Amino acid sequence: MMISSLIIEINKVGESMNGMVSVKEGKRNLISHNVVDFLNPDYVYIPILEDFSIEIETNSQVFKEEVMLRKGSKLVYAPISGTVIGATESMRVNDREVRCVVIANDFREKVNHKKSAMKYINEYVKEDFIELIKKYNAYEGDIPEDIKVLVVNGIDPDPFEKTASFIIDNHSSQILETIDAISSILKLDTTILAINNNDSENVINLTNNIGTYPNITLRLVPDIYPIGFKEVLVKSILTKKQEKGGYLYLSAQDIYTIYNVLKRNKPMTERLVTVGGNAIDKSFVVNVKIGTSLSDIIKNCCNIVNDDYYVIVNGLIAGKTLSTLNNVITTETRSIFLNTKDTQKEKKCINCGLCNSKCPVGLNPKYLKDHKRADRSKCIHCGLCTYICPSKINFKPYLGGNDE
Amino acid sequence: MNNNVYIRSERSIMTISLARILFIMPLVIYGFYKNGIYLYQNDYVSLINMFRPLYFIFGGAIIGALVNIIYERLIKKNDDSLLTIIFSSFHVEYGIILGAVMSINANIAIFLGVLFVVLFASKFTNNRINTMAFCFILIYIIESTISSFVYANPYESANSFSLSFMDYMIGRGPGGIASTHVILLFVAIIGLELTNSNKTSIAISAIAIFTLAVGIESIITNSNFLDNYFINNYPFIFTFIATDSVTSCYTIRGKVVFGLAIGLLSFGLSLWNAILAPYIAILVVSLFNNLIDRKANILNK
Repeated sequence: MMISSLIIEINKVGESMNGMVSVKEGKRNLISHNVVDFLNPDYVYIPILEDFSIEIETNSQVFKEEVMLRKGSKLVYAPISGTVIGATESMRVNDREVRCVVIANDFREKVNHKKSAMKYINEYVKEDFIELIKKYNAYEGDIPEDIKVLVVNGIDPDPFEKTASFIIDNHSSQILETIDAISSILKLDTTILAINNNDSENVINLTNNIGTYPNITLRLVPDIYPIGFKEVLVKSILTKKQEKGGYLYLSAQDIYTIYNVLKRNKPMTERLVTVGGNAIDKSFVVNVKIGTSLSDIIKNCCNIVNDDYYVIVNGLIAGKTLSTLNNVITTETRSIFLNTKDTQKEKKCINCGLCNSKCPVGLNPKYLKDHKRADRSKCIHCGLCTYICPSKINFKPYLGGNDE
Repeated sequence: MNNNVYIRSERSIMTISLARILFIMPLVIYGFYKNGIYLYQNDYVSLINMFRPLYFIFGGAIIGALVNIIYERLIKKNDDSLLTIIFSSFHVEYGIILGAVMSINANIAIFLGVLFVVLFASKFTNNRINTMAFCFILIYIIESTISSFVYANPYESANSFSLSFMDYMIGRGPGGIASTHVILLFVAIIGLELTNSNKTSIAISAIAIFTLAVGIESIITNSNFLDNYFINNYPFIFTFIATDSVTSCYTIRGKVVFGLAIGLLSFGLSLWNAILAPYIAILVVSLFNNLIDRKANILNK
């Protein structure tokens, strides 16, 4: 306890940062404490990404974690075992039509080889570590040679999500072990794990366990939106020098994926997803196979209480509305919300300046709304300006980026 | 569809208005005591006239609400709830604030009549000018033409005082019906800032530059700083009228420049007419709010 108390820092910078608001607890649905499992869908759909070749023939058997698609060294793995029944054009990823390979589930979870677990994951050398995480798609970006700082985001970007919080809650020892291993493999000077200061279970859990890892700093940041966005979090917890010097940024999900890769050479085949919104009776976190269709999850896991709902992925405030349920869960899907539209009438701007003063990247949404040619490239699409506006003005159409 | 909104904060024109009204209420209560109860207790006014301060304050609020109801229900055919319609704009708050800065000696019929006409007309002017400042100037001109516009209540007119700093702080100086208590005003400024319901930087920058200017003037002319500074309730006017949301600047830098401009112009004009000065300054500067916002931010890039 002595050591852990030394390395826990409560971030006061965040509270005084330009922008950010507290989203009242009353507005958030209570989330069931237990993770719901939905790991046996009848079919999974593997999106055929651009330039990827299909490695499995139609009507052939496929094992779980077997390579399905390939593009050079990049591989896509089967999340279940079963029969490849062909390709379909009818599914979507983030509402974009994408051709998908369909696997019919045999419900056996067969793997074609047994992988032995690595006892100490910090024994990898840097080159092997980078090769492994690239091979198993655990991290897409580049890892610069001279980075000295690792930032792990344990905060859910949307206040209505609990995905990151549940990942840490369920796998805290693995998360800490992996962060420590990455820090040691990459020879980093600073390693920060940021979580919300009101995420009480994780605060207690991590505080009790972090003493074993003296080079990890647990940073408690205030529960204000949009602190969970990469740009905002990094700005609030790193010094300008650290920011300029280069840093590696990973989410809690990335860390858990890396753990499985380092420990068992196991690719990501399932993930936690928050399912919430006011159109279902209760919110919950579900463990699903990558490639599961949203319609299957909703049909099997949700009790709909209001049929007039929209489906939104990755956040109720900043998320993307889907036009159909024929969308599939990808490695990037954090949450699904079934929510009714806010119907409050838009009023004339009252010039209050809240959109400007609360913008976490210092933009002026009112100006951007009135000036089509103004530079909006800094916008992180957090939706805070629309959320906070007392005149109920929807700035989303004027900030670009939502309809990509 | 992708630009749908699913969740919004509870902040609205109504919540901002109510916060501002809430923080002005302690000043109203003190104003009622100073210009009503105290005068009645000392036989300066009748029982009915004891309530005169409240006639202005709540009369103003009722006119504001009435204008919103007529405009929204009859002209815009808005079928929202009555409460939503009453607080569909800041007009209720405007009525209360104007009641608070009005002289207790003003003609109440003129006050309510002009208030109704100006507030109603403002619905069609697209928020170009500060409605409160314009309304006050109009009432002042009419009142001055008919009789005279003086702030001192019957008790203050009948006696002569030498007011100390603390007297001004606890609101014993002459002024508007509910705009004299400086301590309560500072409590209101803090409360409004904490609830994000006011453009405090406008008020603070205007008060700061005005204090500096009056201080320098007092030194040069060897006059009484306290009388020069407090007598016409400039801090209240800077806090509640200059910060009118719709006609003031909204950018962080713009608000500071806006406040400084109002403070300086108020001081300059006060050498000519101390009562009208801040209102004219606010009216003039608010005409350029967009320009100030633009220039203040370009200059700082």
